[in-house]
Amino acid sequence: MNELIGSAVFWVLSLLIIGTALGVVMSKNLVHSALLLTACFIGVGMLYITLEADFLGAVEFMTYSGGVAVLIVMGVMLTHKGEGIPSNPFNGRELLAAALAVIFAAVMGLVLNFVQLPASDGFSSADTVGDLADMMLNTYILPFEIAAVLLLAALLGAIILAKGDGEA
Amino acid sequence: MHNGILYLAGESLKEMLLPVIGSELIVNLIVTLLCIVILFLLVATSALVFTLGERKVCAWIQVRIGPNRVGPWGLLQSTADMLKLLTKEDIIPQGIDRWLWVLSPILIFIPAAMVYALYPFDDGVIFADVNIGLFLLIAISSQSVLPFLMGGYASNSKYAMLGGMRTVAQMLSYEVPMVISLMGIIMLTGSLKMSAIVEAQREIWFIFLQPIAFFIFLVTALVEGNRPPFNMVEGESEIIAGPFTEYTGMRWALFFLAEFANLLSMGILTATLFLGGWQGPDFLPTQLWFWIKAFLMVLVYQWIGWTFPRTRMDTILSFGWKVLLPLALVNLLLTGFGIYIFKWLL
Repeated sequence: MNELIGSAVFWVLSLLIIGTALGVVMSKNLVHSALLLTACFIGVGMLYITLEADFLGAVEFMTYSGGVAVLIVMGVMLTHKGEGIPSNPFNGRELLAAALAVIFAAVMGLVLNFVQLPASDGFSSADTVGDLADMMLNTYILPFEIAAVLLLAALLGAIILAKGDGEA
Repeated sequence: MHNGILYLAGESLKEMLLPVIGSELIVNLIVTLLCIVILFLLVATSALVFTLGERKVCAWIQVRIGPNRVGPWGLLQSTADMLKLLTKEDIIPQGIDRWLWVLSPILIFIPAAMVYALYPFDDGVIFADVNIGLFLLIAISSQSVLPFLMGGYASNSKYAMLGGMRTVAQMLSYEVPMVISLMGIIMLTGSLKMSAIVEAQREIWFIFLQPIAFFIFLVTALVEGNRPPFNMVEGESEIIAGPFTEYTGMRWALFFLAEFANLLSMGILTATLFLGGWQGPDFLPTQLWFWIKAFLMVLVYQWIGWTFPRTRMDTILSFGWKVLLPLALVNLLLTGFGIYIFKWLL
């Protein structure tokens, strides 16, 4: 019974994720694309939650939805052409895109076929947050701090780019 | 063992149903569905109560009488309002983005109603007492930014678009100090679980241990809930009604259903995080304490809202980033030191 429900949820979520992801690239309207992207992220977040990585799922909801809201605002402001609706620029590079897609599919296929993926032993931690915090702030504190400094630099860079040299 | 009234009622209902139906799975399913129905009724009732309550409180604060024509003491005002909204013409403006326009008022209701699943109403009475409770709650309620922006963009109106842009600016900016101020509570509790946060306040409420966080939360909750004096998103005197400008009838009512659900949410959340949740002296049942605290906080939010004039968009943004965020960070630092000093003293 549980197996059945689990796989049903997985297939429904996969359809949602793939469908919305296709919508993101095929929609001619930039805002629609961005909103479908949110739907896609929410699907991915729910997939994480069904895999009992609930914290990661909530992070997915929180950061990406907010990020997409900013993306839409920027998108509308940057691509608005006078009276028309904001549009996704399409360029005629279907061949290149198709080639890249084939290569990507081939690589993924090879990975799935030949790489031994570490199987979960079915054990999932009850306290996902605590273990994650322990790893981030004790075991891997140095990479964590390096990423933080990198993000800070990006933040400052964005402010200087937006405000101009003189004002910042 | 839990001993909240609703928890005991639910358990005895399960015991009564089990011999009749037989399968435990189906009984659990029925009880779960019943809980969902109760939560939705709660949200709907809050809208019914607040359509009258909001106007009455507003009137009292401004020394007016308020609605007093429909029924005794204006009690049937909500019913009259509902009938009026139902009979209004559903105007669909030209040149809108049809799908987004229709979806926006529906989607805005989902996060507003979903967070109710995470509130501990009484001892053991919480629909989903998950491990990451508080964080999931913030993650879900942050989803309400996009429907506002959707409605604002889809309406194809400058006022609506401005309102949508304002939503993004103010809600995303104030999320940062809110989360950082709540971090102090999480550090004191040592858990994100909502029931654990209530449990940790058995000795002393967090409002006494985290006064700065309480102040920051009060302000940020008003901004996040789009309440006056920070309802820049609607800003009637500037941009008509922001994202709701082009909506009529029931579609418009859906926005307000979400807004009133959010108002009750703010009261419940403040009571749970800072005022000890359902806990209180023994002479009243815990369930009653919970609602007293929650409605008292709602009253405080209304009081603030109807007392102060509306702020300006640029001042509230700079206040959020330049005052509240540093204050929240200082509070985080102080809490960290405080915990160490407390441990050292023991």
